[in-house]
Amino acid sequence: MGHREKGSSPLWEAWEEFKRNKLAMTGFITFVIFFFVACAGLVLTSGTHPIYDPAKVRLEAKLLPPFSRADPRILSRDEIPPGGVFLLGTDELGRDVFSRMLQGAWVSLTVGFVAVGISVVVGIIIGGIAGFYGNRTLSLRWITLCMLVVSSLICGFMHLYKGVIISLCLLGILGVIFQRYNIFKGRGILVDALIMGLIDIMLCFPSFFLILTVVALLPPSIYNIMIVIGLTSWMGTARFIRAEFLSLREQDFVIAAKVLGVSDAKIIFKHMLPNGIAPVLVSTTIGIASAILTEAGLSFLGFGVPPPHATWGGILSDGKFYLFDAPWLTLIPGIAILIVVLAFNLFGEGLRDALNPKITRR
Amino acid sequence: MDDRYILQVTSLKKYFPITRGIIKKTVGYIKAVDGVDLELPKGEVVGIVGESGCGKSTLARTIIRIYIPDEGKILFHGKDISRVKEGDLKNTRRKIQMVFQDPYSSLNPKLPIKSTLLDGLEKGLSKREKMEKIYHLLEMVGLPPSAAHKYPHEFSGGQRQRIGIARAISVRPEVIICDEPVSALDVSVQAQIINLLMKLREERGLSYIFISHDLNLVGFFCNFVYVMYRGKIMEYARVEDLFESPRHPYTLMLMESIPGKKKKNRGNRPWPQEMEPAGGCLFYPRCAFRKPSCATEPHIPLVEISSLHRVRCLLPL
Amino acid sequence: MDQEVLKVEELCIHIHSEDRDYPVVEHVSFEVLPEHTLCIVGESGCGKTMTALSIMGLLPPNASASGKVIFKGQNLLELEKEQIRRIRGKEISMVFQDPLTSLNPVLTIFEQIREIFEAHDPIPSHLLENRVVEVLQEVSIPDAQHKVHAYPHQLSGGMRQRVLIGMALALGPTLVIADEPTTALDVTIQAEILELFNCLKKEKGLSAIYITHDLSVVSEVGDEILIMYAGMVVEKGPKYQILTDPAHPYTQGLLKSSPSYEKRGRPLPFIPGNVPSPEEKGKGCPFYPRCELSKRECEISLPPITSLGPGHVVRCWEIRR
Repeated sequence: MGHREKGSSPLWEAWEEFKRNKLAMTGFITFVIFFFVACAGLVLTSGTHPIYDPAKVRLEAKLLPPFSRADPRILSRDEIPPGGVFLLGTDELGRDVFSRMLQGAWVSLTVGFVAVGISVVVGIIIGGIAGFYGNRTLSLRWITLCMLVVSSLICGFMHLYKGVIISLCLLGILGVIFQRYNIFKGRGILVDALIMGLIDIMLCFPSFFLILTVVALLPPSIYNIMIVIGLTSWMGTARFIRAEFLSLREQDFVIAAKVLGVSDAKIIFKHMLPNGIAPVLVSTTIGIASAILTEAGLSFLGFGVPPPHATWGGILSDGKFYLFDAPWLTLIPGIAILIVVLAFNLFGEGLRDALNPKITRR
Repeated sequence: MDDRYILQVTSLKKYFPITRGIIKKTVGYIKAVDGVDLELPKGEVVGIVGESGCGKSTLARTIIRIYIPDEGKILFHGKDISRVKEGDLKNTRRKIQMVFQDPYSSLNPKLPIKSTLLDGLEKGLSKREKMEKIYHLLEMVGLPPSAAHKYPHEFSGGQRQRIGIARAISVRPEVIICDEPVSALDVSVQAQIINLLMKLREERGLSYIFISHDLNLVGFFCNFVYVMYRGKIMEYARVEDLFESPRHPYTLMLMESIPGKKKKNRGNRPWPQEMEPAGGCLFYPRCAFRKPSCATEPHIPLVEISSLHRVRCLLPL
Repeated sequence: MDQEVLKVEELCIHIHSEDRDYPVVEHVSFEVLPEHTLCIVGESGCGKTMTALSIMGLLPPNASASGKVIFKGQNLLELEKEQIRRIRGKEISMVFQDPLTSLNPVLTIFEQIREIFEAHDPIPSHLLENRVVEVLQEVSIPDAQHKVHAYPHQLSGGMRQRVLIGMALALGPTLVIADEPTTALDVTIQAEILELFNCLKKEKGLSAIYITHDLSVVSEVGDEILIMYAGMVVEKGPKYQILTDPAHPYTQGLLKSSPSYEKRGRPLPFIPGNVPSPEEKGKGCPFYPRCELSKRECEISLPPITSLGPGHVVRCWEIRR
């Protein structure tokens, strides 16, 4: 009740609330630092003669511990890192670990953001359809016919021409039967039921193994990994959005917009998404952490981003043979992953607490 | 149909299925609106009074096509809009607007007021023209222009209700359905909103359907009253006729329930308190004037017992 | 004059939040006479619920109360937790507003009433069922033997409120506090509950505090009326006096602005502005910004309580007859 100062949007108030949470702010600041490090890493390690060269092999200077001076007697001019010191040591091929970590930071960031970006977009679309249009029905006839079309396309894609012919024949036969014998007339499946079924099926797959399988079958590339992670982790977002939309649809201000004649698209983007996005934002930050971990896991198993591109998981993986001789090769990327994932988790939890709608005042 | 009526509803029904089991078999229906006839003459205020569960809110939402009616017609300026497809409904939609009960959920909490009010404005206006219209709307409902840049949580319940009213009139409607517009407000603020609604009606020639459970309020504000009980209209009359000579026992019960009012011609009959309808008249279990025939009669029609006074009762008072 | 059942003197309640202290109840004083009902009337933010909670010792942890709440010779505000617990439910009981959330949805009615006896006045188990059914019969619940084993959601709103009233009366308290018990109910059910309340009051010789925002309810149940605004008492007096000839502009405004069939045809008089939030209150009269009689004095200093007649007091600089 009563008035406040001008311009206190809910976003601003959430930010004020967030600032008060010390742990969350730590997470946020760490994330910001990580972001700049990754960007710096991209700049500093790319090009033909990068300042910090992640790929330069120095067999004479392998397995040096952190802070080792580069010995100018052994190494040539262009093999000496800036400052003359290997800040984080070298690996089994004499490559500068610091440079590789910088490059890997960029990979982790990209994989995290793009994979989660894909999963959020897909999740919002699918969850939004379920929440907003869920009570419409798709007729069974159309579903069976579409499934046959899809199966013929897949068969064609995989060069199974017999499959294509069978599918198309079934398509024709069923099409005629439906018309003549009134089978499945007027019956349908609720869109919501269909989508929830799809989500449940996707959730049945243990995600890491699904990702592993797909990545193993496809040609190795960073893009494939990002896309695969994205396409297998949208389900949580979809469920959040669906739940939020279902409850928002009944809210008076949404009904009011409908009565005013506002178009469906505008209602979804102007009224429903801003109010329903909160749980998605939280799961996004935690999702980025999870994607980074997944990528590290894939790299560790050898299915990650292919060499010579450095990734934190890859460095960790390569270092496992030298655990006792050169522990820094596993400790450094391990700690880095730990810090980043922890930071994202704290950030996410802080977001969740700050965005929590306060109890309505009377 | 009739020219006098800007809005006319005939035999409107809205049932909600009750489902059981995994396959969601329909085992019965909640008859929220069960054969309602309603007329809104141009420029008048028609009240719908009833308690919770009587279906008045469902009726309101069915009229503006939030729910699709199962049976019956909704005639706006003589045209039936009950089954028109969404796309063709757009123009008519804007002519019938609604003011909602809960001031806390009727405004989008994440948007400043000006964004909420933008929804109703015509397209193709320049930014300046839009802001001018918004300031004008706010002025009409007694709020300062600075309100446009604030957020809903910065306002009290009464002020939010004013914003809701501003939104409703922004599309220049002809009919406004007010669904318990002041029930959630403090008593000292209710009168302000009622006066605002009265003023707007005079200035813009609006017609209102006013829904409330508060008979005092309906008696003050409305010209015609429908008394609703469990999905059906029990009595319909001019407000003077309703208050001076109520003919349906339920109407009498509502009047006597107003605290402080003297009990009228009831003698010493107690109001029974049974739960489920036995059959026949829906009000039978609670009626002090019932006779056995009331429980068995399958269909009790709404009968016009004098000019513009209709009752659904076998034994009107 | 009989001893009062409850005497409240200069009750002040503050809420502590982060860096600031808000007064939500200030300088509230009143008495409840034996077998009388005091109606506390006010809108949201006036502090009526906080006042009731402080009597029951149920204030939230961030609130603190000062002043005196004298019941049977003791200042309730100074008692230990355990002492208050013994009084609460047995000698002073409370009926809350929302019957749905006041009852535990996973326990039957029987189990919830049994809990009250177990806490204060244990009854041997073979007598317990009869006593519980008796409790329900006293509040006119039909078919009490069967209803007693029902769950709250199986009863209607009116029935639930009757159960709550029954529970409040089960141990024979001296004082019952009812906080807006009929606000969430339909108007016809409200009428039944008010009738029930009046009957029970007479039968058992109860004293009661009835909190409401609805002045018309007051005319049914009240003997004395206390009008609160923004945490302070603005007027207090016998029912007939307050309802027919109130002295305070706020009370007058409330009465004039409530709609009824008889007032149709003319615009409804209203009180401009809004109830102030605790941050907005100034040093003077809290009603000052909305009052049509206000003068300079009203803005700067708080008017004292002035007596206008037997049992009738008002807090206003511009008292008019």
